[in-house]
Amino acid sequence: MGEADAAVNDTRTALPAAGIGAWLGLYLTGMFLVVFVPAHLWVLHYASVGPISARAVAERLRTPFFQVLDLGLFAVALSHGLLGLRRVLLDFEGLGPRVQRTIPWVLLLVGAAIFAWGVQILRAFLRVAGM
Amino acid sequence: MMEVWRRPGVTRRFLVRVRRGAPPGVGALAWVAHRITGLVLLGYLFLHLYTLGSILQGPAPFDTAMALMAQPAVRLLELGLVWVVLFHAFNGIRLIVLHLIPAASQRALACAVGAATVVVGLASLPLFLP
Amino acid sequence: MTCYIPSIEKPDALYTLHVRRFDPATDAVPHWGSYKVPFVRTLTVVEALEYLWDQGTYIAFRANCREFTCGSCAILVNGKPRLACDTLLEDDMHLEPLSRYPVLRDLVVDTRPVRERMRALRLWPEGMDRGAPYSPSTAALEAFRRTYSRCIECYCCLEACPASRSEQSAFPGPMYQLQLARARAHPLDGLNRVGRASAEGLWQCVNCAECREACPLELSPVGEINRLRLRALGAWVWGLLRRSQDGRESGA
Repeated sequence: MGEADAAVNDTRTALPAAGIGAWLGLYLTGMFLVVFVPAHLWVLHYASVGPISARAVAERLRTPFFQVLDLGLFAVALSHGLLGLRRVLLDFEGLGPRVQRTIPWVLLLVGAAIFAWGVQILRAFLRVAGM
Repeated sequence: MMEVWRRPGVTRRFLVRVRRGAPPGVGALAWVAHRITGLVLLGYLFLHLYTLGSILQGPAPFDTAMALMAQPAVRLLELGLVWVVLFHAFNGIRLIVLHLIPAASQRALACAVGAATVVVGLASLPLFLP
Repeated sequence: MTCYIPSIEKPDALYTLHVRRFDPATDAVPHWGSYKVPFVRTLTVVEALEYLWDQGTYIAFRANCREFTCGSCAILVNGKPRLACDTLLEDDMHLEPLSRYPVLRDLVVDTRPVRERMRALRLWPEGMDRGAPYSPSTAALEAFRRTYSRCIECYCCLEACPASRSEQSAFPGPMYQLQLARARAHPLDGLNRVGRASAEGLWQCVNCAECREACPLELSPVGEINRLRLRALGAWVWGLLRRSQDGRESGA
C-alpha cells in the first residue's frame, strides 16, 4: 500500500541500477578468486623450472581436473572483471538511460566472445597434448 | 530554480579537498585504488589471454612468447602486477569483512589493507630476484 | 543581525576567510570573497559569519541552534562537508555551499529535493495493526538511542558520498538508507523497508565510509547499509528456501 504510493512519487529516472544480482556476483566471484588466484600462481610457479613451454602446459591440461580448474578460474575472473567494469561504466550518469541499458548486454556479449576464445586456446593445448 | 543542477564530479571534489588540506579518508582512497587496480587487472587479463593465444599458431610460437616473458624487463612488470593484485585482493577481503561485521572499524581495516599489501609485496620480492 | 558574542576587544589573531559568493540577482557566476575576521579562542564559523554581518558584509547562510543539534548549517569547509557551528575558525578557510543542490544565494542551497525524497519514502510507521499492544525490544531501543534518534538530517553524509551524485541518481544517498533502517527498526512499522532500501540504491554503496567521516555526530550510515544488506540477503535466501519447500511460486 505504502510501496505503491512511494513508487508514484518517484521522480528519479529509471536506471538499471546495480542491484543485488550484480553486487552478489562481484562478491561471490571475488571470494572465489581470492582463494584460487594465489593457488593458480603457486601451481604455475612451482610447475616448471625456467620458461614455460607449450608441452609442459599441455601435459598439465591433460587431466580433467586442471581443465575444469583453469577454465573455471578463467570464467570467474572474466565475470568478476566485467561485472566490475559494468559498475564503473554505469556510474557515469551523463551517458543517459538508453546507453546505460545497453552496456550490460554489450559486456555480456564481449564476455561470451572472450570466453569462447579462451576455450579455443584450451583446445589448442589439448591438440598439442595429442588429445 | 529546479533546472538540472550540474554538480562537479567526484574526481574534482576529491582534488579540491586535497588542495585545501582536508583530504578524503583512507576508505575513499582505498575505493579509488580498488577501481584503478581493478581496471588495470582487467586489462592484464586481456593481455594474458593475448599472449596465451600464441598457442593457436602452434607450440613453437608459444614457447617463443613464453621465453619473452622470462626477460628481466617483463619480470619487473610482473613484480608491479603482483603489487596491484595484492592490493586489490586485500581490499576485496576488507570489503568482505565489512559486510559480515558491519560494526568493524573502517579506518583500522583500510590501514591493515595498506600494511598487508606492503608486507606481502616485500615478502614476494625474493621470487622475482634472479 | 546582532552578534551574540561580546565584541572582540583583544583578538588572538587576524584570520582570512574566503567565501564563495553568488547573488543570482546581480552575478552571472559565483566569485570568491576574502574577509578579515579577528579570531578568539572558541570562535566558530557561524560566529565568524555573524561578525561579518555586523561589519556590513551580508553573506547569506543558514544557522539556528548553534549547538550541532538542528542540522541547518551544513556547508563545505575546505571542500569537506561540516556543520558551521561545529567548526572552529582557522586561517585561510574556504567556505562553499553544499555542491549537491542549486545555490539560492552565497551559502544557502535549495534543499527541496531532499524533502521530496523523504516524503516519497513515507518514513512514518505504517502498515501495522495499531490496536495491538507492543513492547519495543531492548535492542531496538538501544539502536534508536545510539543511532536512529540522533540523526539530525544535516546532509553532510549526502554531500560526502562519492557513490551518490544527487537525489535523482540510482543511489540518492546514505542518509536515506539510515532513515529506512530507522523505519524498519520501528516496532510499529510493517512495510517492506528492506525492499525499498534495495530500490534506493542499497547495493551501490562502495563502503568508503566517507559518510561516517563526515557525520558530525559520528553516526555510521555505511554500517546501517551493511546491516540492511545482510537483511536483504537473508530475506532473499529465506524466500528461496520457502519457495523450494512449498513447491509453489511465493513472492520473496
